[in-house]
Amino acid sequence: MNLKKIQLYIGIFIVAMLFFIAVFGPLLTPYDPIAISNATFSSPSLSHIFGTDALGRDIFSRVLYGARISLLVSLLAVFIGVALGTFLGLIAGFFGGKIDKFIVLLMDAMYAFPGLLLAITFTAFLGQGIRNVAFAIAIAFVPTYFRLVRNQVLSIKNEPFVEATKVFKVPLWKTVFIYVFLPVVPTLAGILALSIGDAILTEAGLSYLGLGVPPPTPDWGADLSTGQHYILQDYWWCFLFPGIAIFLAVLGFALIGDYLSEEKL
Amino acid sequence: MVKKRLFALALPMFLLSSAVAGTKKDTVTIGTLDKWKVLDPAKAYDVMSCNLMQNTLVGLYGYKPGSTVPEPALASSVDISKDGKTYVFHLKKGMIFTNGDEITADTVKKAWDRVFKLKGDPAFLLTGVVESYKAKDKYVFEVKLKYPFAPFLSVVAFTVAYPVPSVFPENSFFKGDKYPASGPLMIKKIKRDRYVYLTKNPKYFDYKNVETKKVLIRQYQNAQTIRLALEKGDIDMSSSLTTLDIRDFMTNPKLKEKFRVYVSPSFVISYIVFNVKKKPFNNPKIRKAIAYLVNRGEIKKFAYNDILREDLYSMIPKNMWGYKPVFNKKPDVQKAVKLLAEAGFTKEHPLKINYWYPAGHYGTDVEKEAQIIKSQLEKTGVIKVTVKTTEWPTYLDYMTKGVLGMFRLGWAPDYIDPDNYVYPFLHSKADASLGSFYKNPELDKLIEKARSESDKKKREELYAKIQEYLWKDAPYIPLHQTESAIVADKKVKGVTNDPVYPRYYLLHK
Repeated sequence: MNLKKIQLYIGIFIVAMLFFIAVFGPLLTPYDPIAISNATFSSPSLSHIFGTDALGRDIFSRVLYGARISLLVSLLAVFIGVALGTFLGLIAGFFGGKIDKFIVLLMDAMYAFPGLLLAITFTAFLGQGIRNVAFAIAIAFVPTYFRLVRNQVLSIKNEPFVEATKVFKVPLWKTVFIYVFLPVVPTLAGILALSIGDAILTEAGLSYLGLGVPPPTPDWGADLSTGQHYILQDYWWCFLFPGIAIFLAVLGFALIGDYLSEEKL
Repeated sequence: MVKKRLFALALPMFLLSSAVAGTKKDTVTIGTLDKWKVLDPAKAYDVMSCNLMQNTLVGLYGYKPGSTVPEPALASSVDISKDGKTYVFHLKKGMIFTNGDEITADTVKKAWDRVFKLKGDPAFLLTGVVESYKAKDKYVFEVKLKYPFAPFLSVVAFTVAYPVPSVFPENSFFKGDKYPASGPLMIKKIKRDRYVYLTKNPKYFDYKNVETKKVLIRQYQNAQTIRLALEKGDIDMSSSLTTLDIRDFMTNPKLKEKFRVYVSPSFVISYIVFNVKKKPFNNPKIRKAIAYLVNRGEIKKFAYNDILREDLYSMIPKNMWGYKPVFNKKPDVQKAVKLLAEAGFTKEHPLKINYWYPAGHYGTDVEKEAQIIKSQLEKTGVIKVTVKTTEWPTYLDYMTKGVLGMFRLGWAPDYIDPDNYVYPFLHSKADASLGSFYKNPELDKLIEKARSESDKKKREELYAKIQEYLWKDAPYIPLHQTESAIVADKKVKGVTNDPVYPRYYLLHK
């Protein structure tokens, strides 16, 4: 087994854990992640293994529940991004001409902005909440998938076998699915995994800035942001664990994405 | 123990300190999170802008340090007519700005012309009561009021009524940041959002009593950096720390050795506002139910580390005459549930509301406060709260447009009189900038009566009545009264928690 494979397995292990936590998290902890208690700022102990925060809430529970928000938002964001990007890519590629030029111009303009900046702008418009945050993050992904699909369409549009499908009256959706969509799937998979990691980071970034899901919803980015207020009091557990959670989640998806994209070369 | 981390964070601090002269022997350096918006008495209505002007300009009336009773400053005396509607101010002779211009009755008149013409944010304080004014003589300024207004001298002592130097344009707001001073200090160097450097004004009439040589106010982005700057000696004092940090300065022996915490009551209050025009808060039963559920003690304990907050049961602060605790002291879930049921909300059909707080503006503790209020309301099982936030400028915009239904605000007084806690909040002609849109003609009459009454005892009775309306209709829920806390290096002398405004000009080492 080579090093690359080990990377992949570590990635898969982390992501599998993440999904496990997101689904079964509530069964793993006796505490309600938003229940305020008198035990404020207790350091990690047997009863609170990650300690408690300023409102006496169990940080372990918050990290577990936080996985849900992170995964939900990032998967939703990537799904919207892929759907919109693919759709626009198909239209631009097939129709060409002015429509193509217009959409390409639009996408290039969007591509010029860093993803986080674009997401901040959109959440400022749309307001807080899971759906809005997912959509804001998705916007930044659209140009990537758009380019991928549009290039694929352009490269096969005038191939003789595509011309042939017209003669044999193969329905358009079938041509698109078999000759446009399927060939990009492997490339897509790699980028997809990287995108999810990216989305988790962007979501945490938005929440860190106070633009993500509203409190008291458990959220890694928001908890990291509030936790850092207590650095000078030496309450290190308040920000360390949410931070590690973000780091691991992004790492997991990045390792998988890295492996999948390099396979192609 | 803290040292290692200090180093990493101290580097940017070092770069900053090289920009402006560091803590020198004769300079008192203050760290603040506050920002000033505009240095023009006709426009300024935010705390730091007013504070800077209060230290660099003087009004006809002012306050002695530590006192809340207005007394003559530029004026030597005032004659008030028997009906309480005419005020004749006699100005001291030879009062000048640093550019040599004398302050005469005409200077005052010109300044007031600007306020009346430009209609800036604080203008209503004057335009609401003043009928006419004129310079009767070079040193005599006469004001006629629409109706007798007991706290008028307090308004005259506020920045909006200050005479300004001739650099302030007649037809527009002053956009600069340096102007000839008439107060104890003058602005020597200033850079927006970075620092304000004040020095002693050699032409100030009371020059002898100014202890300060130089004051440097440094503006920071977050409270942690301020704390680090204090510990490192980059700044000498600050009043912008979080309650948690202040608690450390009060209890940690190492910090106690070098620093002193000055705590004293203030007239700053915090409260929840209901937009009484917005559903479901247009129903007084719902407002009252929420008022029954708020547990001030719990908020104080969790959000403010049990220090520097006092539970408040009226909009008028406790340490001011006229205070009557009208709100319920112990939360009453049963009464709240009953009221909610009368309004048509039950566990099966819960009331869904948003609660708003401004991000950053009142520090980080309000976020905790919001979550505690949410949990207190949700205890009933009948209310579902979504906590919402946005940054301050948008927040103000939403508020004046009536987007916010239930939200958090704070209030620092313009003048020390119960009227300043009643008129702006409850009178129908008050500024829309307070967000409740509450109107009650009966109450309007009472408030006007209390304003124009000069007998303090009678006024007290009237304010008692007015405060009962506050509980009856509950357009606001008072939460806490803030105690002000200054953390200062023991070397700094002249540190006071002045009830009216910070006296930079008394600070020295």
